Amino acid sequence: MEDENSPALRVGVDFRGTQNATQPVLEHIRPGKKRAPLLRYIRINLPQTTRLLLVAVIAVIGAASAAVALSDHEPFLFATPLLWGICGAAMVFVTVGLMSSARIWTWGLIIALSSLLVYIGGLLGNAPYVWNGASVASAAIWNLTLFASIAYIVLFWALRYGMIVAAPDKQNFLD
Amino acid sequence: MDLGFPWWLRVEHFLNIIFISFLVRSGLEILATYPKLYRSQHTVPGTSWAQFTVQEEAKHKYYTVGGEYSDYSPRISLPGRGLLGLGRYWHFIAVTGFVTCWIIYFVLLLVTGQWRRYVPTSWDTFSQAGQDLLAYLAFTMPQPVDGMVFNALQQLSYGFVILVLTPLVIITGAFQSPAIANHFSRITRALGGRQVIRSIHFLCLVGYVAFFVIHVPLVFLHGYLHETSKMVLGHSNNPVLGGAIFTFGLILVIVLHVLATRWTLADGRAVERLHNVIVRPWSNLLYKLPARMHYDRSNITGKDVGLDNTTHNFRGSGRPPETAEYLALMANCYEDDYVLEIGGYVERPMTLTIAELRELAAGHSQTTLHHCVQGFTSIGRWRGITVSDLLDLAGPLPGATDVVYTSFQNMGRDDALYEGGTYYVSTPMVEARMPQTLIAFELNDEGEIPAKNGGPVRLRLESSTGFRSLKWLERIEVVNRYDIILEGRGGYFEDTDFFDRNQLI
Repeated sequence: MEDENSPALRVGVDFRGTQNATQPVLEHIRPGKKRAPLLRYIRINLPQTTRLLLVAVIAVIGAASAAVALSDHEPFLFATPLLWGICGAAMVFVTVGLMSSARIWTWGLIIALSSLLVYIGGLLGNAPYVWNGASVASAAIWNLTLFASIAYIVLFWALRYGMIVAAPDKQNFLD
Repeated sequence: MDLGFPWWLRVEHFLNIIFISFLVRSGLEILATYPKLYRSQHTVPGTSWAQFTVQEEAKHKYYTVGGEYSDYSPRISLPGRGLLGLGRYWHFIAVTGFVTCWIIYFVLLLVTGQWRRYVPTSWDTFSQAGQDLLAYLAFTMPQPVDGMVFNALQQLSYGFVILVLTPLVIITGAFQSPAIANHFSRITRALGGRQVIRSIHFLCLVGYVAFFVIHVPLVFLHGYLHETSKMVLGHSNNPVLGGAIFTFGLILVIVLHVLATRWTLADGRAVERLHNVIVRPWSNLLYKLPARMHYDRSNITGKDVGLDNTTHNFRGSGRPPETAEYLALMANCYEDDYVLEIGGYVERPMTLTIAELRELAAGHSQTTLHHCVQGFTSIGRWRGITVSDLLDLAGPLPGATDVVYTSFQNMGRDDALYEGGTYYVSTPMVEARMPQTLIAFELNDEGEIPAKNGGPVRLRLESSTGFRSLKWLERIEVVNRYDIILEGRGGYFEDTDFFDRNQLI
């Protein structure tokens, strides 16, 4: 260490000679490229809103699963206990999501993937589509489990990619 | 009445594809130059709610806003490569067409009774829209309401886009004009301040994109040829012909974008001439809207940000002069050494020290919002004397038309981001005579303007974007023509880049 009196150097912060002390440093740019992949440019810092959104999507999955389980149109054999299982897990997820600041997003992914698997199972079985004799409302609720699951998977990917952050995390923008 | 698809509605639909796509791409270019969105007018570092950049935070204690440009690809933004001025030109050209088109469309909707296609005339429309949403979710196609050309959900969503989203994007766009925002500053504050307005404007863009993402797949689901034929021929009796013409139109739009992008990158001055023909006739009208801001710093956000905080956050957007002369002035605290020269086409050329300026100003101050052309804002209280008062003292000669302000700053020498020579701006007499066009010598309460903000003396042009509020002022010259100075465009950035001297928008 050259300067014992420098508080920054004493804690290991040394920007001298780093590239962005004199010029901009761009992240995520692959060798030979001028720009980063498009989605790397998007960073949203609304942690509370994102947390609520993730919880809401799982709540929709849970509610829709319960509605399908309560209907008299079972998508495939033994689907009802699976749907109730997803609903129960979603209730726990929503409760923990609203009452604590735990990072539970991977658990949500499991719920969303499970719901997606049930939907795919329904495709092979007797899913409540209109052409299978279900009402429009029942079919809509059934398809809602698909759209909400996909929505959660997309949000989870965006979370991992760094496009969005959910409380208690934040983007840590310094400007 | 038979709503159908009248010819003017079909023309408007096609023109909107052109205008909105140009607005989105040029808007992204503008966003790229300050790719951060805030809720507070103070743009406090670290508080943005969104960023659209891959640039790491600078490690310098002081970094200028000029270094915040993001280089978006010309495939995304128009024209790309961080060319803000040209992006603005295209945005305003497209705005002219888009707003004109919308106003004509709105009037035609009213006078022909076609407003019924978008405005629900019964509460049942809302419950029917809910049924339609369920039908879509159930993978079935809802039917149009009797007498309507589309279903209730389409009616509500099209109505929202045309009658809510479009006026909102126009209003939030208009209020990013410093002349409009600062003339109607109470409305600006009622809307949440410039950064909130900027964020809403961006969210409107998101709204259009979201509408496009849902609308286009549904057109395919309803039948591409069938639906597009209605938008070309007014009926679907000949879907192949209609669909082919529509597809050709879409290809034409893509070709237009490619040509516009390449043309802009090859000959920016030609785009500038096009802009001047289309935009200046209405942008010049904004000279009739002088700024009249009197911000109370403590109630802009409803929270007292504190004087020190505000001063600290008043963003600098340039590098101070690096000459021995300026450094010597700074070392001696300006007070005795600095002299402002006022000359040129005047009866009484004069020089004024800061003490003399202070005496003439007699305590006059204005608390105003700085509108950076890139997008940041800061609020400062400026103490100074109006240019109008100085002009009265100097006495412009008959025929004087413009006032030229010259800085100590030499861009090529002082700022690594730029090339070229002395920084200067010029104002038409009408802008120089505006009540808030000020020669400032104090910022907030610390006695003098910090070097990064243009000390010891700077210009404040509150009706223009920020770069025209020249910093480090050396002299003022009244002239009878500005077009013979350097490149003749009226200012440093006007000469070396692609910015109009009329920066009221």
